[in-house]
Amino acid sequence: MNSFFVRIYSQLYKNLLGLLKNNFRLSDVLLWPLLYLFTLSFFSSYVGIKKDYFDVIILGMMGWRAVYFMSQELVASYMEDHWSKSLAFLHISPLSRLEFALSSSLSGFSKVVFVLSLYLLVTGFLYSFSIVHLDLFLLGMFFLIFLGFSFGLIILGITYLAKESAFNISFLLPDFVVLMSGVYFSVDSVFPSFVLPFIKLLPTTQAFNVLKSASDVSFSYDLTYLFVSSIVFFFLCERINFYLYNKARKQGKLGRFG
Amino acid sequence: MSIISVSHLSKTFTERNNLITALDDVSLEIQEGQIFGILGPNGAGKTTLISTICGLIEPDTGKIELLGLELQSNLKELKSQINVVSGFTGILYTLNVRQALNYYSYLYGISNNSKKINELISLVGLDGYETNSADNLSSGNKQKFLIARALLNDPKLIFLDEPTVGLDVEAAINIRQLIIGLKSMGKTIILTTHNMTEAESLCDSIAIINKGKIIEIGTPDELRKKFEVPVSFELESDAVDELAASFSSIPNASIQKSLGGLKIQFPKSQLSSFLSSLSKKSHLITSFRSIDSPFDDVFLNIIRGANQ
Repeated sequence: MNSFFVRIYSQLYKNLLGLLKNNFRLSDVLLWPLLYLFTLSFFSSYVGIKKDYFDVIILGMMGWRAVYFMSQELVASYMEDHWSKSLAFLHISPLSRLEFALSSSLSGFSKVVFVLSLYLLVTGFLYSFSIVHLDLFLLGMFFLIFLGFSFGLIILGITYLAKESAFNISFLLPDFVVLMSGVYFSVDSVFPSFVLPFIKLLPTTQAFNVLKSASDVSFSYDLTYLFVSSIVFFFLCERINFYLYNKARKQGKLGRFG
Repeated sequence: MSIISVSHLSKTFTERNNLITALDDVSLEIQEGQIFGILGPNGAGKTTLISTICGLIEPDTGKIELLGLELQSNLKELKSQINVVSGFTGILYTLNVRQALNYYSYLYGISNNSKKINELISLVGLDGYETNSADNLSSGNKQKFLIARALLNDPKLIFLDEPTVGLDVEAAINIRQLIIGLKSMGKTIILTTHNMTEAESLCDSIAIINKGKIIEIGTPDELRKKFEVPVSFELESDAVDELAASFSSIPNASIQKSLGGLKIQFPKSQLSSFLSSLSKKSHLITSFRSIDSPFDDVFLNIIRGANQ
């Protein structure tokens, strides 16, 4: 196998083995997603929500998980080496900064695929959930995965310098942005008008609208804007990651021997 | 051939608004196939120097060449030629020995590595521990694991940062034998240690670093000669006082009397006057033993000289 692909495989190998050996990590893809699903679905049943809107909630939940796993996995994979006092060895290996991000995102992507399959299976069986517009589902999910990865690059950048402290941000930042992006709802009907222009500028708002439109409820979105803003956002995140990596390297904070 | 060439390397860090000079105009050349020791007190800059040579830390100024290539512009290529063993770090607690070796192979872009891993496990003597968690190995076995891990990419250059610290005598001897074995395999080894006897016995050349500056470089013999340490002898006698009196004329001699014997220490330059006194009183001596001055004394002489 080409050495590039072997290096890319490294974090997937480490993270999947770590997942199977750690109940907490296993819960992250099994227990917590299901608890989260049933919390929302039981409440929806209690208030008698219409099926169309119930489907929006399920789709929003799937999108949120996608952003969460894609952003969080980069940091979790990095912190695994930090907790094992192995970061210095990661950094002196030929695995580059972006190869590490790509490699870790593969294990994040595996978790996304697993949890979405689990959701589809459970909601299909219990609530007759189905995706009405598969194309919009795939498109929306693609952008959310891509944007989650971009968020991961920023948080990973902060982690180079801040280690544990940044781990909290890895949960907070994507969750905050996702909430502001109208995960289960239309941003127009929730946020005051003066913040709407800013919220609609978020590529995640557009991406969630595409994803939620895979149901029978339609949301407004601009695919061209989503595409362009996602690319711009990615490059911005990559540059921030690059800047913080170099800063950490200059300050001797990437990792320590001994 | 010089495998490492460091010239005018400097690095400062800011800690709580204080500027700390970790490396101060460091220059050195390390020849291929050597065991090169970097010795210095705690906080002298040894680990910063290793980290900078490995590309982990960016220097403020200076130039580093590894294998004839400038480090910064050939970082990725050069990373595959070096590896490090440092304390007990670099052990992923979620993986067993074989899985961890697999993982580190993948980091270096090496697949289909079962044969190599088997060879390394045998080389370091970890047969039978493949499925043990690397984190739960004994200290000696952890160090063996770390050496195996450092050899996965077949590096030309290996940094060993205090490889025998915390090991029992037998484990330390095993590790030293492994280090000699690595040298015979053609590896260049950069060794940092606080064990001066180990440094003297293993190293071809030694650099002493203090407060971020290289203050001496040479072979252990050269350093011994340059930084003369007192010569010591232990003598047993039934007439300790008489014997001690005969040595009292030796300039700068220090004499410690004990029951049935004495210990005398004096500068090497006074050896002839000592032998002369000794020959006159040889009938009083029942036992005579020279005490090797430990390399610690050489090291301390150098450091104290630099601090004055």
